[in-house]
Amino acid sequence: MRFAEEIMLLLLDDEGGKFRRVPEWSLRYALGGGALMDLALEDRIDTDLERLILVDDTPLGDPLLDPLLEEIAAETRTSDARRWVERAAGRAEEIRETAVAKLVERGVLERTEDRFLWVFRTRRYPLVDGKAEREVKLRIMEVLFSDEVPGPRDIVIICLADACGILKELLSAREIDHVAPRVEQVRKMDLIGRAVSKAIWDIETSLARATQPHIV
Amino acid sequence: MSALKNTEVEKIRHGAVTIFAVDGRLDAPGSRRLREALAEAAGTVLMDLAAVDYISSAGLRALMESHRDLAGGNGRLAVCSLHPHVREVLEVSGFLSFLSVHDDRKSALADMG
Repeated sequence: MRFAEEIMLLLLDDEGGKFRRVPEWSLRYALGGGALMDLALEDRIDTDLERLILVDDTPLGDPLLDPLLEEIAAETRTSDARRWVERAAGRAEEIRETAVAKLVERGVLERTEDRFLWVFRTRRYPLVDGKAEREVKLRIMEVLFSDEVPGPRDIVIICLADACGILKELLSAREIDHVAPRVEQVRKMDLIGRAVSKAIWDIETSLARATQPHIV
Repeated sequence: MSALKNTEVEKIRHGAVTIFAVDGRLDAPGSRRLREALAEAAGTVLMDLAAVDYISSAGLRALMESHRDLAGGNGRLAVCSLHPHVREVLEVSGFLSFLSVHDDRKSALADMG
């Protein structure tokens, strides 16, 4: 299962079959960053502190990742992971749609449409098979509440869940405080994950500045 | 531009410690070679990185997976002789918090043996 699918599962409100609302920019960066991280774990790209490097442009046959891989392969200029997180975030809508379609195709979610006021259509995605969702949540909890060195996939999902505020949905305020140092430790361990966190942090900082009262 | 040489990994036995001396870049291909070399490794392992001046995300993953595999079998992994750039990447990514790091092979063996 790709990271974008796991993020969408984590965002699902099991009761209503709707996705929880999180800040749009953070979800965009998390979905774009997740696609880059999948490409890295598939040995298609690599990163260092300065650059994102194409390793292999062979398509994966996955509509969720191949358009982004093609874009990276076509780029002639060198950019860092942060720049690519921003570019990948521009594809967030298609990544999200493809991820949800794949979850429906896998039989994890079901797609239903309701009518609101007999006119407006609303779409819901009730959970059909909760195994995958439980496994993702369990993985996150196991890493957060242990001192073991996490695996690469565990690091990524924690980076992404933290980036778009999903951890606040999974844990109580007290637990969030308790695991904060561990989250900080884990999210540094992946260079693309760091770029995602930094991109979101920069936006939040500029928003905070913009909403501060001006001193006359 | 000259072609980059392939990363080589030499395995050396030193008492109870198995030393893997890496020569080359720990990028995606180099990391694959490192993982292949360590596939059967167990017990106490020292990775000598004196001849490694570059490490990427793939290299970090290879270190992390090697550490996990060895720890899972009650073994342990230490690294030594870090190039300043490699040390910087390990520091930025928080790897120095769980990896056992030594200045050079001699001090590592004195500590691990």
